[in-house]
Amino acid sequence: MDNTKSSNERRESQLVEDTELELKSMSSVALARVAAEVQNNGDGGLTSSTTYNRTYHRHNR
Amino acid sequence: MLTLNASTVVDTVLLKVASRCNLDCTYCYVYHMDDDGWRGQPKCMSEKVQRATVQQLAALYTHQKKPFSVVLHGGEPLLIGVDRLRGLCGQLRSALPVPCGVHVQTNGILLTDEIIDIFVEFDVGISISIDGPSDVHDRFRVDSRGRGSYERVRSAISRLTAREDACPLFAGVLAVIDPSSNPGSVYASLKATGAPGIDFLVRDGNHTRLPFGKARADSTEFGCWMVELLDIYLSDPEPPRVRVFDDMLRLIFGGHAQKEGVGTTDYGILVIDTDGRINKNDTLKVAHKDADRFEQTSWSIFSDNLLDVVRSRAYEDYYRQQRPTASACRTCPELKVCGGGMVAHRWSDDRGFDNPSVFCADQLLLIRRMRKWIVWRKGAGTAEGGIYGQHEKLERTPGVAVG
Repeated sequence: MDNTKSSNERRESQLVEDTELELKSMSSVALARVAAEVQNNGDGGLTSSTTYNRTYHRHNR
Repeated sequence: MLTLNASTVVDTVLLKVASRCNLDCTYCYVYHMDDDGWRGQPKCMSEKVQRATVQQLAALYTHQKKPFSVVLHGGEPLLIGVDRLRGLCGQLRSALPVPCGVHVQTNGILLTDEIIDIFVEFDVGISISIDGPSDVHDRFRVDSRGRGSYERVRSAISRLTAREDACPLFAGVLAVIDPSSNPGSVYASLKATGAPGIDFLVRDGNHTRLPFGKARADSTEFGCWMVELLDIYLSDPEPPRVRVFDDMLRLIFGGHAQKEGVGTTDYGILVIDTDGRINKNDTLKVAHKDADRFEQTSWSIFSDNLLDVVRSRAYEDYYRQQRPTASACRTCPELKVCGGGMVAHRWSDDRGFDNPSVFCADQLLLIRRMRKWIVWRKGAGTAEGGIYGQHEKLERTPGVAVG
């Protein structure tokens, strides 16, 4: 019983958290920035992703 | 004129200008995994190797006609000293003008104003390794006496950001994840450095030698950490760039990724070792000893023409290695985003690279969370035209969880 309650509580907590994030998604600067890059660049956003910080190399170390 | 195979392009050349480091980070893939090839290397790249390398890179650029980037790497590249650094940057810039990139990946310990002057003069992008706040950073990024390096690295970043002429060169910071750390405090700490971009790396490992902090191949310690970080990033009203997230989101939206380890792009990464040897991507060392060597041959910048190397079958096979072979990957609806992860992370002693990444479960968890954010945003009626086309296509694919 306790386990069920605990599980339900966790789900409710997750729901509240997700609702908050859903609201935040409307104003997500980072998400809008990437979406705009892909939409506005014919090359799928690669140009803008590589010019903003002069890090255009592929090695990730 | 020689013609290069149009489908194999060099996009990044790592110059191992120093084979030693002034830190002894306990997780380092160069010094603390199965490969000890650094022991047989000269401590620094000689001027002779340097000149031969620059000459060959100039020829490569002339024939390839597509710009590529050179990264001063190590070990710790600043160990070569001010004079050698000035000479090398000058030679590289003469041979490889903009739009070719010249970059340095440093731990920052030796980053003085005199060295920053050199980078300003030759337009060298600077990326500094720092893992988060002092308690997180100093747990692993220690010197040979076991002392933490946080204060010294933080001072270097402050020195860099204090200079107006150098700020445009500051590419960002690079952090290795400790899954037991708090993603919120790590993000806040790295954002506070003023870096325009932050990149995160998982701890290296493979199916035979599990990464630190990962209990099983199908456990999701890193995925959970990244999901928490993603929520913080996407909620931030003034976010810096987080490269790995931007790359993956861009792929979900139908765009392209920038770096290795995500997406299905081929990677033209070559490494010139301190002694002039020409190798594959050094991150392959994570798989096993000598995994970064071309199998059939030993190429050197002195005895071999870089153009011949790039046109060879061995290079082409290596170039395609990013494409996963495991059937679980080839049939996975998220392959275009995940890309099978880093090649080295697919390794097992019994099956070679024919496995999904050891971070497969982590990646899927993260991608699901990204899709959830996108569904929310779409549901909120944001006006981003056809940007959701690619996402919708994947969303309808049977078996793809979107939230």
